[in-house]
Amino acid sequence: MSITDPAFLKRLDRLRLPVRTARGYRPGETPIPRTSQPWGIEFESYKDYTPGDDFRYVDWNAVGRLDQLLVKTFTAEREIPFHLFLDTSASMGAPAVDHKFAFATDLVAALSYVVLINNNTLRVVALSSPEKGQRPFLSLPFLRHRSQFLRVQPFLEGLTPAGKTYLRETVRAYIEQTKEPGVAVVVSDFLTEPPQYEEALVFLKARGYEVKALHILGAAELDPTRLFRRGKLYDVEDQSERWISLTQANLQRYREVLQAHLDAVQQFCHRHQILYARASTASSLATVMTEELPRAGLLALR
Amino acid sequence: MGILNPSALPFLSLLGLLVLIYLRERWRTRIAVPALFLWMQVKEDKVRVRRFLPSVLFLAQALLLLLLIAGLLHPYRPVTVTETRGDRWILVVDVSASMQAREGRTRRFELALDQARQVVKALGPLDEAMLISVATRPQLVSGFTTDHRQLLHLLETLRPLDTGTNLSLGVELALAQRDRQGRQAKIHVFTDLPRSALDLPEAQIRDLAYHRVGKSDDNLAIAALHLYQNPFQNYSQAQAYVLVRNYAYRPKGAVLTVLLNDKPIFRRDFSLPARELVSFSVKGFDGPGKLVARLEPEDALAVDNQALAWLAERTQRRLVLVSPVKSLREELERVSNSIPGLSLTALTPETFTPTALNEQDIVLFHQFVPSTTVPANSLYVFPPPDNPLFPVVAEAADLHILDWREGHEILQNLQYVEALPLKQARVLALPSWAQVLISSRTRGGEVPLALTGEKDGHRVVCLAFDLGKGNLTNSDNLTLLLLFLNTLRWLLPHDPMAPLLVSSGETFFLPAGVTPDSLHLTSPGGVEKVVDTGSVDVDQVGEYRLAGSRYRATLYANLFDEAESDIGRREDDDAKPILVSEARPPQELSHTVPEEFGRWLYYGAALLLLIEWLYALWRYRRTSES
Repeated sequence: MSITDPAFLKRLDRLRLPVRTARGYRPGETPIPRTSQPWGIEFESYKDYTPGDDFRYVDWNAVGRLDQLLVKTFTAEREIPFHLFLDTSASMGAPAVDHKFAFATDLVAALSYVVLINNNTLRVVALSSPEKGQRPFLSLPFLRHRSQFLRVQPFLEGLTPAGKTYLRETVRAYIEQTKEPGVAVVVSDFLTEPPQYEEALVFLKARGYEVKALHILGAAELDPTRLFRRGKLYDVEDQSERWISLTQANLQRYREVLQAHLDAVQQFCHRHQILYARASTASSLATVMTEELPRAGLLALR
Repeated sequence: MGILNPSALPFLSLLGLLVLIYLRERWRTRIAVPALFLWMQVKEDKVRVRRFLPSVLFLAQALLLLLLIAGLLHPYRPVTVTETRGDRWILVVDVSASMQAREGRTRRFELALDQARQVVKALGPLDEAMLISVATRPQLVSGFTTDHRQLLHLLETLRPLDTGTNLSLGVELALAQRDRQGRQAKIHVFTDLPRSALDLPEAQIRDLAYHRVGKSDDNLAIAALHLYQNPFQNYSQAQAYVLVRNYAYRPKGAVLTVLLNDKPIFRRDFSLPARELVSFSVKGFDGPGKLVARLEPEDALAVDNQALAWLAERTQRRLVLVSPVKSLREELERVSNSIPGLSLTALTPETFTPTALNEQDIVLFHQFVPSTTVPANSLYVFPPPDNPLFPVVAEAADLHILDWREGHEILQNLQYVEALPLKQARVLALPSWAQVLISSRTRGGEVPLALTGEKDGHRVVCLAFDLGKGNLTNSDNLTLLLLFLNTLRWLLPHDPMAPLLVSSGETFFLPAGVTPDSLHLTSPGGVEKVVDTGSVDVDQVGEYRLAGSRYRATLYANLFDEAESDIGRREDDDAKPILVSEARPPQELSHTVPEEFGRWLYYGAALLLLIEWLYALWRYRRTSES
């Protein structure tokens, strides 16, 4: 099921990206928890009447029972700016059998769709490698309407995974140029040294972004026996090599190391109140979007 | 179990090649991973990865290769089979000239055929027989066959030839066929020769069933017809000798008639004692033509009662000498005066013109080579430097003869070729059309001293050394004189109409350059047939005519063969007749034969390949779907 499949899009129509702390200044449709406004749809609380309040929202039943002028307040609904960061380092393209990068771009496209149908603003940012004088990131301008979803797909299709992972430098470069924080969803395999992703996520938090980390995992990363039994491995980012024979002991050791890495990323996110979710290429896009990400809290039903 | 084709064993080395390909592929192939730091804590394999560890694909490919190589080896397993079969027989029939000898009212050949027929008729239904005829060469008339009717028919088609016999070769062929396929055959030989004539070890011929036919010794034969006429003699100077021999063991009288162009020119009644010979000289011929010697009356063997020869008409031959040296002219005048049919015309290089020559001349160019080729056979002696025909490379002195072409007509009767005077010679570059006749050697390599060849349709001889400076007729230079005369004889133009003398039983090869296209051969019996190869088997005495669009020739075939003419052959060592026994009933024989199963290995290889292909397809589809 692809992102252009009408049936799949219909299923995405029922989803939204929940927001916890992000704020927006323009009225919109995304409810902001613990933030009230004197009008709206979803009742939140009462407050004492103060001069200037709209009489239409005075709860006359309460006045009758309590003989006190109480005015209803509603959950605030705002237009939230969403920043979808896609890691385009070479590690996202390896191993080729996993099609990890294609999976990640499909996920970003689906999330973009969900953002736009909920009348939020969207900016898709491709975090590239600033080596050799290249720009640290490529991005679309803010998109505001579902009709502009059509601009997302060509942008994503033009990206190719290449270069080293520079999450820290590229995120920093982006937030220095952007004045409107919102929700930042970082889609990456986080296969880099911890300082790289930790500092990138902390920068975002510090600038007032509500940060969500979507960890992309390849099926062959989880089970390397699908890739090789023995041979010369090389790192696609730094070209270093290592002869590995996938014995039972080595396989066990690799799984332990991988699990430790995943745990480290997850625990860091929990410590810093960053929503963390994983998506594996072993699952289909539809399963991830409609089951796994809602279960992880990254998506919710409208 | 065994293999029939061990030469395919080296193909096993391809397995090593396969291992090398896998090792190379392993070293060459790298597996891309997104990050190596996850693997840095996994123990790097220092040894095992570099060692060859076969994969399933390798094992499949190695098995495929092994199956193909095993198929090439032609493996077999021994299988015991039982079959019912009869005996094997080989009939060797002598069809040489002596088999034509009359024995009473019949001929020896018919007697031999009768006995051969009896043998064939006595064969059991499953008995196989082979038929070989032997004259000068053995010929396989029929391989082993159980078709006895066909064998009888083939016996009827056999005819005795006017040739000698090589019975030993025929029996050898039969012996070679005797033990084929592990079945021993009984050999029957039908001939008029005694068993002692076989030039084979006694152990080999002990078991032969030897059917000897013929008793008559009544034969008077022309043992030879020699015609002495050298190339410079005309017919009136020629002399013929007819040698007649009585092979009978009693005196015999006869009449010898010699005919020239069917006209009797000589007739002599004579009587010869037993086993004696007489020679008749005939001379004073009054014209050229076909010479026939004939003996009358007819005896038991007629084929040797006639002989043919050709009396050539020779005109005066001219030797044209072109030389700046006067002394050579005088030498050659002395030589030509001693040869009746040869005249000398001496010219200097300045007075020589090619138009003064005709085709029948022989030209001797001494220290001179004309700028154009001449229309006659020519001899070049000591050609000067910068001549257009034989490039002179250098001068050489005191050379020694090292090698020469043995058997060449020019070197006939030259017992001491090394004795040629070679004080000075010119080192010639060998032209492409010439061959070396005599050669020496210097530090620079082989040096041709005498060349022969054919250029523009004419024979050419070149001597790189001089003719001994006025000493050609000196007795010390006899070798040089003989070489010179032989060269003149070789250069004499050949009369294309003169018949060629051959012996019956020989093979006549068409001259180089003559193709058998539309060439017809008319045999002495008047039978005409197309010549489709480059040779003609001469197996009858008499006159053969070869006629084609571009080639004509006449062959005179004679049989002067003492072994054939001596039909009496008193060495009667095995005159006892051989009784033809009844055929044995068919036997049931068990024997082991190799049963090849290589093709099953090929089928297995094909099946394995199909399985591999299907597996690869399945994997590809699975990968595509995922």
